[in-house]
Amino acid sequence: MLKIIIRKVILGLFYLFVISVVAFVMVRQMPGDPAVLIANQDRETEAPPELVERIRHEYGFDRGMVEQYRCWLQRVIFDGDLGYSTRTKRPVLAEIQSSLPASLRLGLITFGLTLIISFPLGLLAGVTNNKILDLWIQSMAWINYSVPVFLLAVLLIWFFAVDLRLLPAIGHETGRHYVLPVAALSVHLSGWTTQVIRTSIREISEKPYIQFAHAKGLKQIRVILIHTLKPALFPISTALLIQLGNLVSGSFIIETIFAWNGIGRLLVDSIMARDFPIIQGILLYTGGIFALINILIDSLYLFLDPTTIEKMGRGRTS
Amino acid sequence: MMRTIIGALSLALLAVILLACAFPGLFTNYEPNAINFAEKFSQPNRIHLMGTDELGRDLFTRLLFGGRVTIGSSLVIAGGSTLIAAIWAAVSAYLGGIWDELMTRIVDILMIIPALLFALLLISILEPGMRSLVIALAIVRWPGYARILRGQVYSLLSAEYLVAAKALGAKPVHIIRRHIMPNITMLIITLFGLSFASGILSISSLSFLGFGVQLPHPEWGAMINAARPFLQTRPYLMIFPGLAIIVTVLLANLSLRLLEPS
Repeated sequence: MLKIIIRKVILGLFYLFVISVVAFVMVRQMPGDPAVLIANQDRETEAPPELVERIRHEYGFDRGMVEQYRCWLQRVIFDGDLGYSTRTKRPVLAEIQSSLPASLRLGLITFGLTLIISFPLGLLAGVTNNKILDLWIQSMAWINYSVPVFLLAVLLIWFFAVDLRLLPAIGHETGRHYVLPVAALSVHLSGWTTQVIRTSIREISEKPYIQFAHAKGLKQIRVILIHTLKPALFPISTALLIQLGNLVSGSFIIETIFAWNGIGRLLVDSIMARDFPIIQGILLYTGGIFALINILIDSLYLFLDPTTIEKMGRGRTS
Repeated sequence: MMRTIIGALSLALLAVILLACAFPGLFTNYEPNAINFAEKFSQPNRIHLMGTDELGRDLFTRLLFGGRVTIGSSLVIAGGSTLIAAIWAAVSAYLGGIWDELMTRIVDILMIIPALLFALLLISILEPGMRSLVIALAIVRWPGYARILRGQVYSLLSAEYLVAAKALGAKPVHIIRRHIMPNITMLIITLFGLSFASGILSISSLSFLGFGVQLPHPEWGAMINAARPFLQTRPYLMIFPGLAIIVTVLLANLSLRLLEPS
């Protein structure tokens, strides 16, 4: 089992290497000359060509792509140094570390709240024989899913921040700042999550062995919690953990509306400024988080269901 | 029973919306970008069904033409991403062995790049605009579908009746046509529907932030953004495009209920 996990980690590192190459090549395909942008920064007038040339040489943009990548990789591996932002001149790692916690907190709080809302509802809709109740929960879930996050955010700001003046609409300094963004994200996400949980539970509860468990007179609660919920946790946890990754990296819509300095905003600003080191750093960092989540899911499987050991040993993981 | 009624009703309503957006000329006599200051900010009335905006443009007309952009591009995203995914899964399963392994790995790698960040990067490489938005979203969506389809094909191949069919000497073409295709058609249609619904949400979100259509052309997300300053006094300018998104996404998802096995 340990062997399989080690294999997964090595594979994950290889994936990160591929992502770093892809990111490196992709940022250099963007239109616009980064040297010119850097030279013109904080200047009223057009930068002289000599300055642009000097900057191009200083940042190494005049060298071949393979050579540039080699230098970059060398520093990442041996010094753990992702380079410096060309826009703010601060280390890439410092930039990422100053914007990631807010996004991470937003993602985790939303994720937690979503689970609290959708787990009981999804479970209830999945096991109940009451068609009307099932229909009600499902309808609510579909409607919640259909409301775009940005629309709800705008309406929440208008109602709670502008009209009632109850909550702040901009920034992320205090706990009160989290209320509106978390609410806007959770409504949409809980709709989706409730559906996923309901479907997984329903699928299991229609299996013959569940009917048999009922038939032999086991208590309802025991059948639900042990025989139905436990096997359903596999597909549910896979789907949800992937959502967590999307939540942390994909909340730049919320970050933009509520003027947060999160990781998504940092990427958008860096793309605008052609800040190559930051873009590469963010893709590597978030790719690392995703890879870690994938390894966690696989390890969880190995732990909970020994039959997967054989399958993964053969290299068929997905 | 209930499921069939809800599904069929949703599909019919969705068809009406699609038709109205495909042929806006049949439903309105106005131009989407025609400015008329004399009639600016009129409340919804008999002449202007949903009222007019700050430039006196007819909101109902803009909604139809905007839907054309939002729905049309979502259809392209859904079609493109499911098509790439289906071909990828089929080729991967057909070739098998080392090629299958390699193609699965490529999907795995694409899956751990955060989708929206990847899409933003792609948009900035292809010049900003609706076309790049559609291409970028199709590119980031297909790996997830390819993984699901590949899994389904893989489990089909090991099903007992297929083993039996092979043992009886069935040819690959026969197996793909009679045993595999009917079993994954439903899944492909479902993925297409889900992709269409999430495509509308993504397109309108990114347009809302200014990554999609250029002014003055209408698009549902961009219209909501344009209505923000007037939310207090003219809420209908935001309510109608907002409802259009919610209702279309909802109907698309409910239509899929028709396909669910009961």
